[in-house]
Amino acid sequence: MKPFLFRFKIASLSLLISGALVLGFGVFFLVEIGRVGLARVDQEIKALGETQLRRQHPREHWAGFDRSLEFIYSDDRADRIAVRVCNADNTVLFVSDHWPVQFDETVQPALVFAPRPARDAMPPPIPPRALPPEERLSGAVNRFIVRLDSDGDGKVSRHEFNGPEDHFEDLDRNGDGTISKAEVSKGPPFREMPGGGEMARHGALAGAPTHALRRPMNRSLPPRLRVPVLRTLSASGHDWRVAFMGNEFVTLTVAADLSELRGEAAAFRRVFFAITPLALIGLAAAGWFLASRALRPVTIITRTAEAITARGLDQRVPRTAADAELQRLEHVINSMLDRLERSFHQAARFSADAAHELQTPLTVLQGELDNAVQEAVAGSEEQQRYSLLLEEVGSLKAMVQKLLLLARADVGQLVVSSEDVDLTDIAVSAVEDVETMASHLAVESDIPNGIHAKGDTALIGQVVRNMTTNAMKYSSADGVVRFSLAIHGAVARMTLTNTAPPIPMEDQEKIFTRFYRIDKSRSRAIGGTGLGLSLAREIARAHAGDLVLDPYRNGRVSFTLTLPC
Amino acid sequence: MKVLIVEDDRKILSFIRKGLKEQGFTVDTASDGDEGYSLASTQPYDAIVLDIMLPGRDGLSILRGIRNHRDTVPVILLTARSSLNERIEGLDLGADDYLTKPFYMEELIARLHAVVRRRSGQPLSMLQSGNLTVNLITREVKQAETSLELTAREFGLLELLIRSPGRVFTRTQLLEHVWGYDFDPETNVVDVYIRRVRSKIDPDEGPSRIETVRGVGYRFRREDGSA
Repeated sequence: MKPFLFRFKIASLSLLISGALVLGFGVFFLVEIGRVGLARVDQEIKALGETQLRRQHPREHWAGFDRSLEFIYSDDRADRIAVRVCNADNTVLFVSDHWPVQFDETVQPALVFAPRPARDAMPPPIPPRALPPEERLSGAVNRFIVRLDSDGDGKVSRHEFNGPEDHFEDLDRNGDGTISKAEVSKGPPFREMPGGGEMARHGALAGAPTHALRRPMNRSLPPRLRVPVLRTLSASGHDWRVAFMGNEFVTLTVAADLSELRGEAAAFRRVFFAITPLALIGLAAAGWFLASRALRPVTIITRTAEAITARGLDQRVPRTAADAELQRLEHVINSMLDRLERSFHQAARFSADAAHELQTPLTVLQGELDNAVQEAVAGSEEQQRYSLLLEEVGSLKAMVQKLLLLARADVGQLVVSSEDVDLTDIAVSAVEDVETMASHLAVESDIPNGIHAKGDTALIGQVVRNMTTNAMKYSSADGVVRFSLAIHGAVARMTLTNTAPPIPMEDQEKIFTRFYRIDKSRSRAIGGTGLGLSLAREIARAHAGDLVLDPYRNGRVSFTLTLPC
Repeated sequence: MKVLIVEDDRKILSFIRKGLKEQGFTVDTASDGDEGYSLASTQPYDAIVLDIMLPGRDGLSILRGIRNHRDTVPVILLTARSSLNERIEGLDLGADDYLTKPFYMEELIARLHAVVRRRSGQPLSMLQSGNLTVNLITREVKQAETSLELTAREFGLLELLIRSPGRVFTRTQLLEHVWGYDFDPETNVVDVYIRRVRSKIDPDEGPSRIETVRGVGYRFRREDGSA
């Protein structure tokens, strides 16, 4: 599976978490807004209805109540509330003009009587009596004046007054054509005014409980209230909240249009769903940006690590991170690099030391044995024994030499000289070797004259010998070995091809690995150390060239050596 | 011929001294840099063999000192094979040749002869054995007046053998000199080439010019016929 970008993960994660949170809160608030709105409406219409039901009213009262609603709610919203009043035997006493007729068909729920509260526990129906009437009235008076006073002079003039004409006359006590606050609140109590019994009809004081204005002196008990039932009903395309209420004399049904409330919720919903996706995209982008910023030290560390080779071990990660975790990572990586550099230098020193330490005894051994061979009687057993030892020292020397070259290559210290190397010469000699040593093989060659490269003749000769030896070793019987040499631009290419079974795919890279042989059982018969190809490639690379296995074609295995020229 | 050997390893010093004395050289030895430098600057030598890594003054410093005195005595440096920089620096300082350890005695002897000849203005260009002449510069081989066609490998083999007549070469030594050290030691390539060289250079009758030393290798027959 392709690994995800860390930045992508962080961005998606922040998107997911914030998305879930925002959606959760959004839904919660939407539901809550609906619930609270509905509870507000419920309370409003219940209060409206119960206020009326606490007393027994004449039939005409209900039209006045309906009209007073226009004062409570401004004119344009007056049809928001509709009422319908029936008496005990279900005869309609009053119904608002805009009462949705559909509701007439709704089955009137059976309403049970509320338990009558104990007398002493009954809440006083009147606000605290200690207050003088002026103060009790002042709130209602103020509301009346302010609602009707459209020109803001603190008084209600005749044209501002929207109640019946005779009511204006009643209220304008001093007859100056305006109703002032003083006129409403002072003077004789309302109930003493002509038509005062009907005062509540024009709703001027509807905000205050009606009975606050009429002291029920020596009255019998108030009517028993029924427990209201509230329902949400649909009519003419929108929802209404309908409160079914009543007392022992009438049933009052108050319906409040919910479209305004629903409109508010819808507006909220619209805004919410328009803004949320934008906010989430912003959050994801911010997550991406933050993750990128946070990852910057990691990017720097990656780049440094890429730049580190055996030749550039002195590279260190710059200390750029501001965060403790990343600072620690930088510190740990740098100390790892310190250790690595130290061990590489130790290894390099070791190989240099080993070169010196091993070469000295080998020189002595070889020199002494050589002298012994020369001094011994020709053909004597003694001479043969010395010679055998001398041959073994020769093998040892070759092996040590190879290991040291590899050790140097590993620490990037296989420095080669840049002499002129006659590749033609080397190739011609290699052809001669094959012809001489493997007479069963046919040799083809395409070796132009005068092809030179830059490098170390001895080392390049060693690479070519290695290629040649392999070609001879692994060629099928009566096979063909082909040498070709060519210049391509600034690169000389020597290709050695021989007929052989293909090298299995999984072995193709491993043949350049040290001590590796494809056919373990054949290795003894074929000989060699298993270091040849690995070293040959290192030498080629130290020359800024390469040694590669070419694709298998026409039953032939082919290696190409490239060298700068 | 008087030669100074400056080498800190006493065992190497000892076999070089032994090998050179056998070849008729007069040998002085020094086992550290300071002693070597004082000998080199006070005694006249025909050639000096200098190890580079020495206690006291190192080989390159001795060489610099010698050349600063306008002394043109031929100098051969002994180095570890892989220290390319030292080799280059040595040649820049005026070393005549270098030899990498481990080396064969006859190689050192051949190079000593070569540098001394080169200094005296007579580079070794012709080797001769009986009526066989080998021109090292034109790479021509003649038997009496007849030119012989030798391949590169055959010439390399003949040149090595004829430079040190009577000296026994093992197969590995021959391989190392002619083909390079990295050859598969189990190969019979040397025997094949020796056969081919023999067939080209040997007179029609009489013993071969290249003798087989049983169980050891080959040597070039001395002209006087002795081993």
